[in-house]
Amino acid sequence: MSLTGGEEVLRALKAGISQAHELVVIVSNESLRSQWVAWEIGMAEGQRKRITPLLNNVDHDAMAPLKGVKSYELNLFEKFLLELTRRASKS
Amino acid sequence: MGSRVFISHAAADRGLAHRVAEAAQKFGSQVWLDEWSLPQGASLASRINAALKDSDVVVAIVSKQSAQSPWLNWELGAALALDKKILIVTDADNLSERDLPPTLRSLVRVRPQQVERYLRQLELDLKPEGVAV
Repeated sequence: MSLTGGEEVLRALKAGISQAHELVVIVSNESLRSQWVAWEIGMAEGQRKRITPLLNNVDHDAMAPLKGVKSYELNLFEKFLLELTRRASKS
Repeated sequence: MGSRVFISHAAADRGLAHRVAEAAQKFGSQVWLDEWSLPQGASLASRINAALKDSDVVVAIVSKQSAQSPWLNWELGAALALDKKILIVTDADNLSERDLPPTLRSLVRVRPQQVERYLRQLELDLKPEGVAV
C-alpha cells in the first residue's frame, strides 16, 4: 500500500501525542462533530495519557468516550494550568 | 487457539457487525463485540481500551452512517496507538473514498465475505516462526 497524504497525517499525530505528557481537548459543538477529535482522544487513551476536556458551551459528558473524565469549563482554563504546573513540578 | 478479534461498530451497522462476528466465531476466532462482552466496573473507555489491548486484530464496520461516529473513531485511534492490525469492513457499494473521514482512508478495506480469508491469513501470520504447520 502506498503512503498516502492521510497516512502521513496519522503518523504525525501519533508521534505528536506520544511526545506530549497530557492531552487537552476542547469540547465544543464543533469538536463533537469532528471524527479527528474523537480519534485523537482514542489515540491518547491508547497511549495512556492523562486527558483533560475543556468544555466550551457543552455538557460535561457530551463527548461519549470522555464520560467520567474530570473536565473544566473553558473559562476556568487557568485553574487547569495551575494544576498542570503543579503536576509538572512534581514529575 | 484462534485469533482474537475486536469488532468496532456503531449502532447503525449492528446487523453487519453480528454477521461478521458470527462468521469469525465459526472460523474459530475469539470475538469481542461490545454488546456481548462488556464487563462491568471501571470506565467504559478504559474497559474498551483493555479489550483492544488483548486483541490481535480490530475489525471496524464502516458505513456512511457510522464513519463519523465518535466511538468508532475513538476505538480506531486507540487501536493505532496500540499498534493493532486494523481491518475496515464495509458492504456499501456507494461508499467512496470521499465519504470516509481521513482517519479511515489509509486502512485496509474489505467486503464482509472476504473477512474469513483475511482471518485465515492472519492466523498464519500469528503462528510463531519455526512451528511446523
